[in-house]
Formats: sequence, structure tokens, C-alpha cells
Amino acid sequence: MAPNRRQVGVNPPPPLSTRSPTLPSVNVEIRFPHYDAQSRTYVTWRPVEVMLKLVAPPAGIASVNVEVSAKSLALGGSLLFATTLTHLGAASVVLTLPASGQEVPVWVGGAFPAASASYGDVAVEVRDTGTNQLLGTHDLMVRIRKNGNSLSNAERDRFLSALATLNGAGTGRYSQFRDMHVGGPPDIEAHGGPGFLPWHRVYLLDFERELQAIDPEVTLPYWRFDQAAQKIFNQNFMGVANASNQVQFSAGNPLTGWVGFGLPGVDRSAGVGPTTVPALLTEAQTLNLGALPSARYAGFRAMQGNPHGSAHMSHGGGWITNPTTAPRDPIFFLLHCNVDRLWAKWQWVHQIHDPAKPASFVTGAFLPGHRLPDALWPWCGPLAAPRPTTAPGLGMASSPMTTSPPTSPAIRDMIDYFGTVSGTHHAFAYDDVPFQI
Amino acid sequence: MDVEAHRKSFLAQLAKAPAVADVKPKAVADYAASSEHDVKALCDMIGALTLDPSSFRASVRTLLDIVGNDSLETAARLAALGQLKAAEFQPAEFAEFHAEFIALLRRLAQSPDRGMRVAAFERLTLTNDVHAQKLLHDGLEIGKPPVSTVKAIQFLARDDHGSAVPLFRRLAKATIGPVREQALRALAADTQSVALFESIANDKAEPTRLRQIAAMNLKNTSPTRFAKVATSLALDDQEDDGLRAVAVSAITHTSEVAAKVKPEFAASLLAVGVATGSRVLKASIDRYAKAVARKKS
Repeated sequence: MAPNRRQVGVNPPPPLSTRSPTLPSVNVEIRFPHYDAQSRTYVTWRPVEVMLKLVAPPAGIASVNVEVSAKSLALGGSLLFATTLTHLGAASVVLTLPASGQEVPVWVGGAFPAASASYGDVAVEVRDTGTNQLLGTHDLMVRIRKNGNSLSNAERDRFLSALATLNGAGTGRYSQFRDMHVGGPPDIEAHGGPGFLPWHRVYLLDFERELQAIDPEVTLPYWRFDQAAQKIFNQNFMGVANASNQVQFSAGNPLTGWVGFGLPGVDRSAGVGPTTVPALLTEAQTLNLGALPSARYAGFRAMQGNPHGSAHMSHGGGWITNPTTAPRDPIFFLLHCNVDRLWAKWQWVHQIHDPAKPASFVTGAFLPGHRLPDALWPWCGPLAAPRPTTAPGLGMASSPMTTSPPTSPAIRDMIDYFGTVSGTHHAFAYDDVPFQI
Repeated sequence: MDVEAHRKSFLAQLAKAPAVADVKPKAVADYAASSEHDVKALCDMIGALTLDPSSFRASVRTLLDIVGNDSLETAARLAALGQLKAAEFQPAEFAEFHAEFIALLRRLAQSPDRGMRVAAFERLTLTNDVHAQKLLHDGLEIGKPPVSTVKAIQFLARDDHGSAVPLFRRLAKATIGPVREQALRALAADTQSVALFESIANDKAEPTRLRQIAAMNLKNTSPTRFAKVATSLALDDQEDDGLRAVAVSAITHTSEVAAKVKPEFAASLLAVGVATGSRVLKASIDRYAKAVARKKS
């Protein structure tokens, strides 16, 4: 993939062996580890290793000292910098770039909690420490999953547009996501044991990557189902259900053409309105599940019943209230994004990211697909019984921003999503869950 | 931000969170059996019943007993039914109760209690229960459905196999108001009703809401004819702006339709976007323009 290089103009080389502070003269190339087809790059809170080097430096100098920092637009993303992988980055870092053109690494990550709203609302800047001359700059986006209730109208509309395109009136790639989350044996894969959370993490990530293939600035928003969500349950976003289970959308909402299965529209009861706070475990109560005497996944996974099942049922009726039909309703993806966020937040607050640690998952006699080394269906493809022998989705979508997880992920691949111990990350993060090692 | 300080502060908040109510299945069963019970308190207890792995079986047993107890208040039984439906999201654990649950719902579909009937059909029709479908179909045929006519059509329309489509066609032609609207919705995938959809979508004398449903049905059943109707709607200044916005949105987000739109449509539509005073239409056209630009890039 061609790197996206941003450079400022080349100036004549200085005549001195040590650079004069009054003679700006060099350019710096800034190279991120990954770019998409539009030569754009995206980061999360998790820093990535960026390489800097002098380009065509003037003769006679040994090196240039530079300060690397961020330039942010109002309400844009922000960045932190460090010379190692850490959560303790600073707003700027000073580096020495050799005149030989040798690359020098710097770790760049989003500065929690300042996420981007659009591409290019934050940029890396490299300046000469002596002159403050701008030597290089590079646009990017701190791309983070956000609370749907706090999205700007522009963010919301981009998400809805990508979602409607993926849906393709029920016939697009969306239909495979709908069909892999259905009753019978596939449902056992998704909900039949402790693999419930890892399975849905892959599912959501696969889905989000498909959305990003349509619009790379989009992330999955989440519905915090323990709070009222006035901006989600209105006609401009996830719609408002009427007494006949018909979800009403505003005329311009791209979801007006949504087809979950067969019939157009969304079948949902009016259990959750703009001011409804569903009766289920709060975020704090959920994160405390199984926390004593020490936090363990074995206790936390009880959240599959409450709040997860309770959140589905808070709507009262309609597709969202049954595992077989739930993904026909677009709110399903926001609901499950919150389920995954809760797991991510539990992992952070109790510092349990390492799949080698017993607390990060469970051991025991569970069904295939629910043990730590098990590959997850359907991404692992058709298998012999007792795994389902159909696989509508096959391998998961790739991301231009990372090589992880593999196209056929196992449960253990889905635990350290931030790459705190593995070195590879999944290129997603939540607006209230920082990176920490 | 000092992330570790933030984490410690958050942990301190968690420590102060109210404990989860520890309601045991036996306590709920005993309270429900008590002649002195308060319905709201019973509903609260049912809602707090844990579905964690350690007490899942006992909880589900208690919930099934409450739902099936005809002498209990409807509110308590519905609360228990909601919990059972939540328990279904743990299918491996729920498997041993599944057959009993479905049998209970089929009994409740003929309950004298309307609330229980509606709730039973609501759940059964989500998974194409043929017993429930037959009750609804037979009831609609004789004009005495077990739930309201609108609800009955809505539930029956969930049938993935579309076996009630001929009935819906008759209702769409022979009824008025909400029943006609519901029947029209239920016909959304019926290719034999294309002419009906086209006629309603084009008829300015029909309610806008009905025309919108007909237009969406047409999109599903005949993208070619929909493309013609939608482009005409979108460019017609005399049309309802909301309906025009829906038409534009459908063209934008359905590649099959977009492919059938004439090349000169885009320029005409962009001119509408400049001229219109309708925010919703303008926004819809703006999204169309962006989608076209993205496709070109």
C-alpha cells in the first residue's frame, strides 16, 4: 500500500555542519504502519509505531532535532506520542533524526478521550526544535466507537447511510450477518456458553469492517441500555415504534428502506422510547459481576442473562426479542456494541487482557466453540458435526489498519483486542475505555 | 489524562454501586403463591430474578410456573414471560425447557385473557409456529381473529413462507383504514401485487403514508418499475416533500434501483436540491450526491 506522505517544501541545504536555527532546510517523511486504498490512516487509543525520516537533508549536517506533536481542529481528535508502546504518552516528543535518512520510530495513539469526528480533524506535525519550522505533517483520524446518544448529526447520518447501503434492502452483505445469527445449531455457537462474548466481538468487528469498506470514517455506535437515549430512539436515528410494532423513521432517514427479512420496515414494540431507562443491571452493577474476591470472566459472563437478555427484552416484542430474529432489527448492532463495550470496560478496569491468564476466560467442559483454543463459527468455515456445517460468512473481513485477528479467529484471539500483550491489535476502541498496559 | 488515576477513580465508583438484588427462585414462587402478594412487588421480584448459570434452571422452572398459572394477575405473568424470553438468549441452558415453553405458549394463545393471548402470539409467530399461524389464519378468514385484526395480520405477516399472502391480497382490496394499511405492509414481498403498489404509489388522492408503503413494496418487488415511479416522485414539485425524500433515499441506498435510473436524473435532482426549501428533501438529495461522488471516486 502506498504510504501517505505529507511534506512541506524543500529548502536549499545550509552550508554549516550543524544546522543553523535560522535556515529551515529539510523535510520529514511520516510513515504510518497501515494505509487504506485512499492512502488514509486511522488510529485508536492504542498507539502504533510510526516511522520518521529526513528526506534529502542538506549536506554537512549530522542530524536534526524535531518535536512531534498534534494539530487538532475544534472538537477534533487529539494525539499522544512516546518512544515506546505505552499509555503514558505525552502531547509532544523530541526526537533526533539522523541526516543519513535512517528511520526513527515514534509511537502515536489517540489521546483519550478526544476522538475524531471526521478524517483530518487531527494531524501529526513535525517541527524543527530550533526554528519551529514545520517540517512535515500528516492527517489522520482517531476512529473510535462512540455512544450513539452523543453522535453529531453528521456522524449519525454517515453511519445510517453506510448501514442502509450494507443492508441493500435486505439483499446486501448484511443478509449473511442476519443468517449467521439464527436459531438451531448456529445459535448454540453464538449463545451456547462462555464463547458468547468473543463470538459477538468477532461478529461486530466483521460487521463494522464491512461498514468501513463503504465509508471508512464510520464506526459502530453503541446504545447504553442502562440510560435514556433520546437521540437514538427518535425518527432520525433508530426510529420510534408504534402500537403496531412498526418502527417509524423520518422521511430522509436511510433506514426507511430497511429490509430485515422479507418485509420492509422494522418489527419492534414500543418498549423503549426516548426517555425510557430499561430495568436492567446498570453499567456499574454489570462490571461488578463476579468481581469478588477477584475479578474473573467466569463471574462476569453472567451478564449474558442480565443485562444482555434483559436489554433485548426491554423492547417488549418484535424481532429484537428473539435470538432467531434479533439481527433483523438495526438496533441489534447498537445493543451488542454496548455488550462488547461492557466486556472491554471490565477488561480495562480489572486489567484482564492476557488470554494466558485464567481470569480472562474460563476452563471446563463446554460445547465446541466455547473453549479458549476453539475456532469461532462461521468464520472458521464448515466443520464436521457437532459444529454447524453451513457457514454463510466464512472468513471475516480484513482491515487495512491491522492484520489482527486472523480471518478464522479463535476465542483466544478475541480477548486482547487492544494488543496489550500480543503486539497486534484489532483497530477498534470505545470512547470510554482507554488503552492501558 | 492520567489513565491509572482514572481507573482507580472508576473502581471507587464501582465499589459504591448498589448491590444486585439477590432474589432466589423459591422466594419468588412462595411470594406468588401467597394470597397477600402485591402485584407490583411480585413483578419487581420477577424482574430481579437472576438468570446466571448457578440458578438458571430453578429460575426458569419458577418463571414457567408463574406464566402458566391462570389464577395469577396478568401483569405478573407477563413479567415472567418477559424473563423467560430473556432466558431464551441462553439457548444451551434453555434447551431442556424449550418444548414445555412452546406448549405453554400454544395453550396461552387460546387463553380467555387477551393480554396473555397477544403475548403468546407475539412470541410464537417470531419463530414461525404453525399452530399459532393456523389460529390467526382461520380467525381472519371468518372475521374473528384471536387478537385484533391489525395485530393478527401483523403477526401472520411474520411467516417467512408467506402462506397467508392470498388472504392479505383480499384484505388489501376489501378493507379500509389501519387494516388495509397493515395488509398492504404484509404484501411487501408479493410480486403479484406490483400493479396495486404502483397504482397506490402514483395516486395523489391516497394518504401519503399509504403511498410510502406502496412505494417501498414496489422497490422490493420490481426495482425497474420502482425506479420509474421514484424518479418521477423525486422530481415532481407538486408532490409531498417527505415522500420525495423517501424516494431519493431509496434510490441512494439500493444499488439495484440506482442502476436503473437514467443518467440525466442526477443533474435534475441536484437542481431540485438547490431550489427546494424542504430541509428533509435537501438532506436526502445531499446524501444522494455524496453517494454518487463516492462511487465515482
